[in-house]
Amino acid sequence: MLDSTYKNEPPAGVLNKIVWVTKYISCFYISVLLIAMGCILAASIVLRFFFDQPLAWSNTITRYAYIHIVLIGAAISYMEGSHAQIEVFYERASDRMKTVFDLLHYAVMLFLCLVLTIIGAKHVITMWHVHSPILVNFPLGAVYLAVPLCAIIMMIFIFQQLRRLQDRRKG
Amino acid sequence: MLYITLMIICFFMLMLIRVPIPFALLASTLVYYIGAELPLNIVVVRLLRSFDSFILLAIPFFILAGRIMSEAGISDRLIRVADLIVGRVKGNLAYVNIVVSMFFGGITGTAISDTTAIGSILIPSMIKKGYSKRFSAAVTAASSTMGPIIPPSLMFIIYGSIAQVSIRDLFLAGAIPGLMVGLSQMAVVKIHGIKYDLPRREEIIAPAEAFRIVRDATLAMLLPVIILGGILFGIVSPTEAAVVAAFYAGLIAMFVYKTLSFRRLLTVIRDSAVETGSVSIIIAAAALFGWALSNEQVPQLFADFLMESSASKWQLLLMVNLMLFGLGMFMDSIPAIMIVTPVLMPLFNLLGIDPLHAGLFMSINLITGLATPPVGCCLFAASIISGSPMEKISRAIIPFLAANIIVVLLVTYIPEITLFIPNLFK
Repeated sequence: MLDSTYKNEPPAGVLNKIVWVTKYISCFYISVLLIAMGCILAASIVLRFFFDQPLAWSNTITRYAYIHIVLIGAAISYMEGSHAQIEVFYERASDRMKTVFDLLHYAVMLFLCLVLTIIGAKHVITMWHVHSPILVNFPLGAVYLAVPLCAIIMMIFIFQQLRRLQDRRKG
Repeated sequence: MLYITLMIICFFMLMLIRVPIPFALLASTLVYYIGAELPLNIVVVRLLRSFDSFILLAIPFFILAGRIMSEAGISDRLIRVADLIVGRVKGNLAYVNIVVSMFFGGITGTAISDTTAIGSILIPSMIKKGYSKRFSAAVTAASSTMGPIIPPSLMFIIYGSIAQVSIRDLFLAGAIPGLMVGLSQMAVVKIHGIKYDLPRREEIIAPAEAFRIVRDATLAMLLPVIILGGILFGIVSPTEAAVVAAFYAGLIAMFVYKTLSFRRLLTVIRDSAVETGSVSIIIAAAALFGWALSNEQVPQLFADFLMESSASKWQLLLMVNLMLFGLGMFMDSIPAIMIVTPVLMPLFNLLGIDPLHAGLFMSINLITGLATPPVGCCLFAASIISGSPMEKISRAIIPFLAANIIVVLLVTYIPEITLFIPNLFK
């Protein structure tokens, strides 16, 4: 939807297709959330300014949306390699060392994602029956859902990268 | 203390193997949690709690407003206004580069977008007019570093949320230091202009043309006025000002300038949402890391150690300046300020330094790193645009860095520079 690269067909290979679709859906989701956040906050400003009646729930719902944007956005940023990172040592390493660095990097990231998925999922289940005091019937577990989602998106991407590393070694 | 040492070592090791900084922070914090046998489920709660704040909602909308304005092609309009202001002086394009960065910083608040948007227009023009490639790239990279300290600044929003300092006061406090950075860079251009006989603009701009140039850029230049005015006069909160700025930018880009299509707007929204993720996740990760440090009293121990070293307040501040300068050379300014603020705050409290003043000098100190080798992102971008190797630009940028360092020292040791405007509005 939102990027010219998505106009193209999904790439070949099952894993590549999964990564492509995951990224597409994630981008769509956080874009919709950002638009919704903007509209809700703008409506609240207008209502407060002209009628002295801001939307009571706007603060809460936009904070929840922000949490989802941050975590899913961070996962997409990881896919795009746009996080702040220190490249200077990696770039000066030999090809062999680069492969070692990459393997270590992905091992650490997989461990982190695994921990976040398990703890996050536990929290989602625990908090699903707890409701926000301002948003009636809104399960707080939905807010925590962003954590395992972020971790799973990154894991899918890491598997793709590991596969590429393997292909490169074979090639 | 063993696990905290392990955590810090782990953090540096992970950064060396190119693990992104927020995930290096998170993974190393896990080492501490596991080692200290703390329940891991707290990680998720703390992770979410650290950015569950209304003030941080300003981040996506300031990013969005800045991106819309860049996409709308405001660079060209701002360059023409800056050219008009600077006039036909020797080295006028170099001055234009600095003045336009001041405007651009007030609209986008980021350094790298300034380097790419302004650099892609001005660097080729400067080279064509006879400026050297390395000088053109150096002045572009150096002037871009002003962006993050000229309001609206993401760095200030993030610092304000950690140090519990008013965003409004931070925005006000950034005005004089931002101006000083610009003026000090102009002084470097002046000296360079005399030494190398830099070219000047030959054409004279007629009054009618001047009026048209100002009229074309007025709506874009109104954006920082709307943001600051709205916050200053209590009409809107910083978050609401960011939302207003994003809508305003979208409306003028689509319906007045007509340079942004609906389809392109959707791409900009998507990119802004992703950038929000990469900027804000650092807040959460650094908060977790900072919590682990505080849990072991590391900031307090660090402050006590420095206080017992019998160094004077100014010597301690000089040490902080050097440390931040070194950190800024290797780390981007936003993650750096996230990590060092909780560590340095106890020291600043013991020294009796106003958190507003501390935020400003730390920010200016760190932004200098955006244009220093080996990881200065503005330097890289300018090198790519100009086609001049990094080594050459690194040498050409030294006078600009020296000017920045002088401003850092002045802002650090003369608190009135920072506090003057916020005090006026109290």
